[in-house]
Amino acid sequence: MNRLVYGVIAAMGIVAAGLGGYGMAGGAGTLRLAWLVPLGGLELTLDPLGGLFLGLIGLAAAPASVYGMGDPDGGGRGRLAYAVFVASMCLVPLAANTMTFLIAWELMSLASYALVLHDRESEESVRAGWIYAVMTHAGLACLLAGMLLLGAEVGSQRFADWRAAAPALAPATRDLAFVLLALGFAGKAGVIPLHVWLPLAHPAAPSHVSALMSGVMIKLGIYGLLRVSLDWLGVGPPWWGATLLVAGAVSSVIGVLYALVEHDLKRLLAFHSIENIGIILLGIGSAALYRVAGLDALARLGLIAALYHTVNHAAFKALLFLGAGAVVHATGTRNMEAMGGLIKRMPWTAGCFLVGSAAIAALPPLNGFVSEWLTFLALFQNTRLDAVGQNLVFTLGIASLALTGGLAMACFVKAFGITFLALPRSDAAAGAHEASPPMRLAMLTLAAACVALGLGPTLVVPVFGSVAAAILKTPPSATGGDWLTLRVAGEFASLSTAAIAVALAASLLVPFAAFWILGAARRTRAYETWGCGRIVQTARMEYTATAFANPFKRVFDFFYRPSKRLDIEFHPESRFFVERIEYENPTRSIFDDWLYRPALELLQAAARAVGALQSGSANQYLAYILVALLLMLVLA
Amino acid sequence: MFRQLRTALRTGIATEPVAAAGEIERVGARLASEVARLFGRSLAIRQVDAGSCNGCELEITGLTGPHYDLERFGLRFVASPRHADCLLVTGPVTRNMAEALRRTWQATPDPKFVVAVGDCGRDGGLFRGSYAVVGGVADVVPVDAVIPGCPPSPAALLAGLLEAIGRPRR
Amino acid sequence: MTTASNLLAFLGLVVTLLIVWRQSWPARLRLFAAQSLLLAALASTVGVLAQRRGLLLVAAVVVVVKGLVIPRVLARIGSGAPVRPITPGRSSGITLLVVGGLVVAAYVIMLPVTSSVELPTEGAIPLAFAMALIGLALCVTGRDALGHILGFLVFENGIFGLAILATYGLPGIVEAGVFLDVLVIVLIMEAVVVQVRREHDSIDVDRLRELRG
Repeated sequence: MNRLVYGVIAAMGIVAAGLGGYGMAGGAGTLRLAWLVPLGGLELTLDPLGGLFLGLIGLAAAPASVYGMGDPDGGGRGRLAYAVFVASMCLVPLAANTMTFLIAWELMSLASYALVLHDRESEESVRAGWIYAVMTHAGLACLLAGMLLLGAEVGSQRFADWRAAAPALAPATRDLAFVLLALGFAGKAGVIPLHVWLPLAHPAAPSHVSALMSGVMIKLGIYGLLRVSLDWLGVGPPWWGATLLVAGAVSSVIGVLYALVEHDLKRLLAFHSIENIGIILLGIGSAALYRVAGLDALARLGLIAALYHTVNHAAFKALLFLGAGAVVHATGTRNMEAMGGLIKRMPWTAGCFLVGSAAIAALPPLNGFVSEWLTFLALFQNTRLDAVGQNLVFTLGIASLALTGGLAMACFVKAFGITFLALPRSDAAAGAHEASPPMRLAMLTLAAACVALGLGPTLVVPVFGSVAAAILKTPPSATGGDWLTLRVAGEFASLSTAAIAVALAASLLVPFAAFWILGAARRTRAYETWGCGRIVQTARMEYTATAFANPFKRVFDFFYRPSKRLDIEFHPESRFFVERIEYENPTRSIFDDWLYRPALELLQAAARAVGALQSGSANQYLAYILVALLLMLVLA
Repeated sequence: MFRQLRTALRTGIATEPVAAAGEIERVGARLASEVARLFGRSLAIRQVDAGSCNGCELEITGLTGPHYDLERFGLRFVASPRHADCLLVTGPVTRNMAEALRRTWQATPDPKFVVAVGDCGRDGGLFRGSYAVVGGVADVVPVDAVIPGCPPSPAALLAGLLEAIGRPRR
Repeated sequence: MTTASNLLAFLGLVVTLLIVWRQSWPARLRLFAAQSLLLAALASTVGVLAQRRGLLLVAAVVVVVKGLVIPRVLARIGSGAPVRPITPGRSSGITLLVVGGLVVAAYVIMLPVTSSVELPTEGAIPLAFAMALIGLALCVTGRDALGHILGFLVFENGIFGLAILATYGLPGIVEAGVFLDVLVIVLIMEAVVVQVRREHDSIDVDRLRELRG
């Protein structure tokens, strides 16, 4: 039964991917069912951008569903919610009017809410679900307000009409609509400071769902931001793009900073999603700014970088979440400090996770490198803009992207090293077993996708280029370079990941070849790993994730604001013998402390004030009705 | 800060006058040429404290200071036996360190040589016969050269190393 | 027709005011039945004079449902209640004053309506609307569940009167639906009230405060 359901969903994903590919290739189509829902009816339209996202959803859903076949968490009630989740996600990029969009959007949110709550015994899950529900509906409220505003101003609920009418709208209306819609979509995308739900909700869901939530669902927030900043509202003022760029810079750095000190494997990945959303936003922001300045080629470059990174992040983040799911299932914990040594016990998972780690850390020749490289190039071209303020924003973006790249690297050294290398830190890790065949198949597929997207930018970039040209409404131009080399912005830069891959492989072989040619003695002597001469080597002597993160905690202590608690119990006879030692070094979230807590306190105070109305007296409630009725009749 | 400056000015130079460096220079030059001949350019030394009183370590540390500056002769202390050509072992080998020393020797890649430093390293010295001590370095791992002294001066250390390099290695 | 509708609506308002004034439950029930019969008379008058035969049927249903069935049911509910002693010093004076204000308000609110339509019954429209408002006011001042039910029914009667006067009756299907609604509400309220009384030995709404979160 499990296999059947997930197999059907996987097949659905492949069909969706095919349809998306058709849309990207320029195939357009509209489906209208006016009678199905009120206010404009159900209307679906396929266009290149929608096609790209539809294809992305399909291609991510297929391996995630295959993984679900082998995942013991996948059974039961979760199956229906999962099917609804995938189907509604497929509808979002196709929706062509407000009603259709909001229905699909809300279905997606509700289905994922149900999936977040799959373990409803755990208090943590319930809290995650609660925060997720609140944040997602706050976002929905923003979206609803923005869409109704636009609908009222334009006089139509169809997105195509908005596109046509946008240039004629009053600037204040457009700005307000932009702010409302961008807030709503940014909340879904997990842009800082609207990210609080993300690191809670993603780990709580089963892993194949986390993979989709992180790989695809938050991308629909990006989809919305693309529509808002580049499509529906036409060419906006520069501050739209600048806002997106700054949001991207902040999200990328803060996301990775949080990930660095996180020892829950799935939460670590969730924080990295925030970081990668930030990187995508850097591309979108630069595209918006270049477009305002009339630099169409550069706008296309920025957009290509953003789209490329969107697809890449879906590939490697889904892979990493599936790998993390296999690890969590094998060890029974999400805490990295209780893992270790898994590379010997689950080599397939470890290999796939390593590919994903290298990709997300932007190591050539994998896919993360190509898209971050393109993002860098898009940002570096800001010298062609003649506006000092905008140039400063771009500089901020460049600096934060550089810092992010380094920190992400450090973080995945930690994530991979602590999880898979060294000795097992717990009995559960020592008794871990390899993932089941469907899970392995799913991970291998995604790892292959990461490698392919990394080696084939010359094939992929023209596709994104045509999608970008369709959004920006510029004629598609031939991208520079030949089959081997990608050339960007004229002669500014070029890249050939295939050549890099060959060079890297060659550099591995060179020493062996040199030894062989020089005829060096190749006598080998097997001996155990050097452990500083220790007789007994236990897992307690190993480097821990906490220790790895501690230097960063100190360097960035203004941000983490760590508090230290050391509790030592001495032996009653002598204080030189310690019976028990407890060390805690938690960090505190500045967003909780400075944004959400004050806001919630304000809300609670307001609620208490309003709560005085709720006296419990039925007569009083009836009096409210009477007074309200009279007031309405008199005022009307 | 001002008090520190004043103290520094009033005290003047408190270190001993530099000894005639002729002996060290001569030994060093020969050492450098031997190292260059036998090891390419540098000799990597891993120092192992097998239970020393740290007197020998003080003198060895002196070798790395600006006066002796061992690295100009192509000698270098490294952080792991995996990187080393030579083990410089000090102290009597205590029971706790015997196995560690053996493992260190195993972990050092061939070809390698071992130099026992100080009277304790030679045969246990002052601690010979103690229940806590296995004996000299030679009782645990094969030793190629011994540098006696309690502790040996840096010059003696250099001379001893020179002698050790000159011997046929295993 | 104007005279007849004005007279009947005025009598309906007077009966409504009497409901507000009286405190004994059987008396108020009788007054409610009277009000329903007056409305039935109003409906049949309008039906005859305006040639709407459907309204005669509606009037018949009103007589049966509101004049006979609902008062019976309410009497059955009320009979279980401990006889509430008529508390001295608790007069209906203030309520009556408020109700007078509502009548004025009804005239003010309905002024634009009456000035814009040209119907023979327009003079009675504010009177029917005042009945509806007084019904709501009865709900507000009701001391127990029975008071609320009665207030609701009076309110409903007012709306019914308004519909007859302003548009010569609603479409038949709507009318039927409303009657069914009212009947069902009364029956449900009976069940609820009986249940509440069994649990709490009282149907005083003040005790609902205990449920406040």
